Amino acid sequence: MGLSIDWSGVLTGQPLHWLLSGLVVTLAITLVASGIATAIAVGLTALRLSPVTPVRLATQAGISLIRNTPLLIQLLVWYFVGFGLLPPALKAWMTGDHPWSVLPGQVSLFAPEFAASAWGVGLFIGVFLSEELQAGLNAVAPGQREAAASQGLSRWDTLASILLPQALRNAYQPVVGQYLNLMKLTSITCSIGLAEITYQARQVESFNSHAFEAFAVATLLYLAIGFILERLLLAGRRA
Amino acid sequence: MSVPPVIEFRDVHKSFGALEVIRGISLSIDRGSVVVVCGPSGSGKSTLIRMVNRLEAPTLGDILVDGISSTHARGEELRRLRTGVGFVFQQFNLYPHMSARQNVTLALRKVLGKTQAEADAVADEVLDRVGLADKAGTFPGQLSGGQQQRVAIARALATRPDILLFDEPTSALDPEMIGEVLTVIRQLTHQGITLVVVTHEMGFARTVADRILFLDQGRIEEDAHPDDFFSAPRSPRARQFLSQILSPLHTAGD
Repeated sequence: MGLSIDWSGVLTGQPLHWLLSGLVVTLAITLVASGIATAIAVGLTALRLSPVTPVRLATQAGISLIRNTPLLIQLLVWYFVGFGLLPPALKAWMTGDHPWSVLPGQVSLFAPEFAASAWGVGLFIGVFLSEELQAGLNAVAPGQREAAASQGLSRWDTLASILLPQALRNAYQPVVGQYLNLMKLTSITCSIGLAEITYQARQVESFNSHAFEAFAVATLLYLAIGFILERLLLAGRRA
Repeated sequence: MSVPPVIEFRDVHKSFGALEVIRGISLSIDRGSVVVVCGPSGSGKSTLIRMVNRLEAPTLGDILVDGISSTHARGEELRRLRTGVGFVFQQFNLYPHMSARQNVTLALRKVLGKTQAEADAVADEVLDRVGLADKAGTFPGQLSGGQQQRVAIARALATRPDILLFDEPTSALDPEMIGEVLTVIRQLTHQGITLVVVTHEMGFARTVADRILFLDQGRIEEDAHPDDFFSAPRSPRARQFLSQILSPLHTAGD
């Protein structure tokens, strides 16, 4: 059996609905995980500047743990172990019905899979982002901290107004790279059942065996998101 | 003695590792006075003024600023003390990602809690005082060294400090820009603000200082009125220093 290409097998009916809802889920998880990653990166940067040595050591240990273990394992842990440790009321709410989150193809956007994925990917990339920011921070002249101190700025204001903006400037390219990584790494979340693009492409493949077309469409969708995201982030630098 | 000193050093020592850079300094500075600190490289001049607002912590001894120990102040108390002490750095240390106006308004908004409009009004006023009213929207990278240092002075003035500390404010400048910065500093003298200026500009010191402190190897070798210091320095080290710095090959620039 040779390769016969039939786009209607993926671009009509149920397969199209699946792929479209996969696209929405990928966009949503990218957005939410980016927010989480950003917050974690800023928080870790603040903790790394703490004057309290045990706080710095614990932060460094946590960063090592996340950096040096596979994202897939982390996702499985958050999904199968982490979720189980949540308070029962929260678990019940998360597993309940959320009609507002149902996408085309009967895909529910908000579910434990989504929460575990957003947290897992956000934390993973947040750690790498904080490493990039640290490199950017190391390039900020020490006089900047002294100027801020001499003006009586608090530690937080110094970080938020003086150090982070300059660190971000110094490390802009690698930071953009981390957000693009985040978007691409969301494809791994299909392993815990999040119905994003990769998950839906596999679903189409098992539904009608149009593997080539399904993964071709998935590839093009990632490429398009990545291209647009990159343009947006690089435009943000000029702004 | 009825009026308490605005800055008081009490037997202050400072070491960086094994290197002792300040070796027991006791000193009282009167409110509103102009004190010039001079001395050879490595004599401890910068360290001396950097300890006033605790950019460096003394190893031993205590420093009182308006009666409050900057050595022991922490957190909120230290931040309040620092807003009362303007500091002007040799390398300006302006925030490069902010305009001149934003450099001035940041502490007003974040530390003193002023609104943007109030802070902008202060910024316009202090930038005008240093002759840069037209550069409010300009970023440091687009300003000359002299202009950057004047913005830094405006920034230090913004919180209406009682004390201004200058750490070699003209040493990083091209010669033709030294005058404009010294002129601005000169205008701040005898306005009620206490000025402590570390500088090698002896012409400036002679004309504006009420008092000269000559440091050598971490000690105050001479503490004198400028007339006495320049005409009849008592210590051999001060005489040697002055003969080097006032030689015809070294122009004081002001």
